[in-house]
Amino acid sequence: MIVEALALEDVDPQQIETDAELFGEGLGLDSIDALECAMVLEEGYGVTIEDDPEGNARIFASVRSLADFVRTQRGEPGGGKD
Amino acid sequence: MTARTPRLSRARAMKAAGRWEGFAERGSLGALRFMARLYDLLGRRLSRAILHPIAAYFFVRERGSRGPSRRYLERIWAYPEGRPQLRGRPGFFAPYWHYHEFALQIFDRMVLWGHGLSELRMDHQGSEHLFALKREGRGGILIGAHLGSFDMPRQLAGGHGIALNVVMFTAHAERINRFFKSLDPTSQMRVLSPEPGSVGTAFEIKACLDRGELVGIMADRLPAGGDDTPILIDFLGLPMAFPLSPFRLACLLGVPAFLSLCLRKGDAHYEAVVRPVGNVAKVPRHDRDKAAVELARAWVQGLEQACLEHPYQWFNFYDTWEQA
Repeated sequence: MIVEALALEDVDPQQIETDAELFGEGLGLDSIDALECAMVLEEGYGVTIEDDPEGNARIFASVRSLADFVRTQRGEPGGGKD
Repeated sequence: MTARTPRLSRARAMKAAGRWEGFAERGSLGALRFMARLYDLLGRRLSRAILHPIAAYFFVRERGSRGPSRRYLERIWAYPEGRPQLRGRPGFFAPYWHYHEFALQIFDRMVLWGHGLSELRMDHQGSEHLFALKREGRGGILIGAHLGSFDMPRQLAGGHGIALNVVMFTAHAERINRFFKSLDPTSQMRVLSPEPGSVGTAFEIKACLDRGELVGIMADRLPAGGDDTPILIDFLGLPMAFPLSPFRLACLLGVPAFLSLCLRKGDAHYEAVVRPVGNVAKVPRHDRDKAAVELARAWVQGLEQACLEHPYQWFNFYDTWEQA
């Protein structure tokens, strides 16, 4: 999803580690990339991500935290499934 | 890593920006207060004369920025349309007039803070675009530069009840906000000061735009600590690094972007210019980077034009091209 949303052409989705840092050091995405992810999620999954600095830093920490957030929002049980 | 425009070394950009901050901070609040007293006592013409020794002081003190200033003015000289605006071929003393213009505009800002627009003439060009946005309840991005008096748009917004958020990487946002509130309690200007590199910056800006407010961003210098995607664009004939983020954001959100400057036209006479630079449509994902680059190019072209018309009013006293 991230790869598709941001049209990262030379990144293979399999290469992104679930717990790797998305922003800063890890994938090197920035704030606008995060906003773009959020907008894609809002359209595709019907979740809303607010302008909440601390919350967003947590949500966008890694693929796992992002997925957990979407599950919680949709009322699905969170867990180990990726 | 991405199919994006080449990213430049952030460390080098930060170093250049840091040098600038040091320079700007020397115009301290105490000196401004002193000037304000002088203005009230002596009047405009006499107190204006004090700017010459101030410019001379900077000329001697800021040896390091003399070179960049002269190199910039030489670039202007290379353009036939820029030449008539210069006081002759830029030589050893050319930076003096550059500093003098800087001092004069800080002086006028002080007058504006103390007396409002009663002592200054302010013309507007293109403000109808902002009124139209206000009527429609839409937001817009005002992309400015360190050209002319960048404090002035506040007046425009304030006078018409338009909320303006200025993105500034500063540790003193609260203090600045309080200062402007004390000048004008009805002021709807707010300094947004995102943590450099924080994930939330773009969300905060979107929230402002969603409320139908204006967001002001400077784009002629890479922010000292901001997360940016610098891009090289020809400016006065040489490639220079500009931040692409403001333009990416406009394309992502589909909000109108404007070139916004406030230029000095004569003594105590300014003109605030708001000119649309880009498409207001949302750009589909695969074309977005290209569209952002195009938008940035159009903006830089407008900036270059304004620099050629008012060469001494560009206050970037460091080697902007050196980073390229």
